[in-house]
Amino acid sequence: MNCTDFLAKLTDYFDGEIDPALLTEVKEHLGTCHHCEVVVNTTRQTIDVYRHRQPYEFPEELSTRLRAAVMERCLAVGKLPDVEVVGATKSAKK
Amino acid sequence: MAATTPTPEVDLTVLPPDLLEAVQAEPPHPDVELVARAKAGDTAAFEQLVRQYERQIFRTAQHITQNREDAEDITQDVFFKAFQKLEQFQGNSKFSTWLVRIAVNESLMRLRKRKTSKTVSMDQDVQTEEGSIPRDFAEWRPNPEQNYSQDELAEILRKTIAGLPPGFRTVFTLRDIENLSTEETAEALGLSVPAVKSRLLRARLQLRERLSRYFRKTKEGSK
Repeated sequence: MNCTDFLAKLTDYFDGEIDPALLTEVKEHLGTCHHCEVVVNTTRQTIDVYRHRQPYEFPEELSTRLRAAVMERCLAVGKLPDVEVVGATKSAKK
Repeated sequence: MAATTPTPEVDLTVLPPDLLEAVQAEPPHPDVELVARAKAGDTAAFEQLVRQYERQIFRTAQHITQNREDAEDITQDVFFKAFQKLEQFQGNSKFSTWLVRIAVNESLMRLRKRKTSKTVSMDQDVQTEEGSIPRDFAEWRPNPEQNYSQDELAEILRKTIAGLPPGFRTVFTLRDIENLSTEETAEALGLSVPAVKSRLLRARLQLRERLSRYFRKTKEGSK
């Protein structure tokens, strides 16, 4: 297995979707190729840092405001079957 | 757009006993009951679904549009559309995947309207070979989080993912940040599984390459 073959299998390797025979080849390649070993380590760190450090905040205030706006719009149209909303406003606030 | 991928009917009588037992023992996803209650007119059940998925939908929209106001509008629109089209949801996919698919479509539509990027579809932006071949082979510091404050790190992550073409950052967001399976990501984006895998590989490699500029270990071991 060379580096190009290895890269082609990288996604399956990360996702644990690689057949055992190929996995042995991948591990053998990693044992002899420092560049590919670095690529594996730093790609794994890339995934981890994004997964654990969400770059966008979703504060409770935003959650509450969005949910209230959504439910107001939904109740205003009352599209669900058998739903009659007494006093619902016709204009959905956005 | 609703996820309408049909699930093939399975004749349970032809399944081997062990598989039949596994199929029958699998409990229904909790959303199934909430969706059924919402369809029957229980708005509290629908609000519970909003509560469960608003964060995921907001983040997905913000990652794709790179704009907070757009993400807020899209989050509202996604749940409002889902509410209106609830009867069309047949349960062939997870409810969350159905929502994500609506969110992706709304987000791409928003990008097209903004016209700040020529690359606003899942197909037009994937021809680049950038990042397909790794060039930076430096190890990173033991932990990037130890060398930057939370705010600095968040800014680096935002800037870096913003530089990816929308088609790549959408796949990375769904698969690696929101933790959808490859199959769910494919379903949400209307792509084949091999197409998702190919884009995911390139997205991961491009991000790795770009983050290496910040995180690579220097000889002095300093920033």
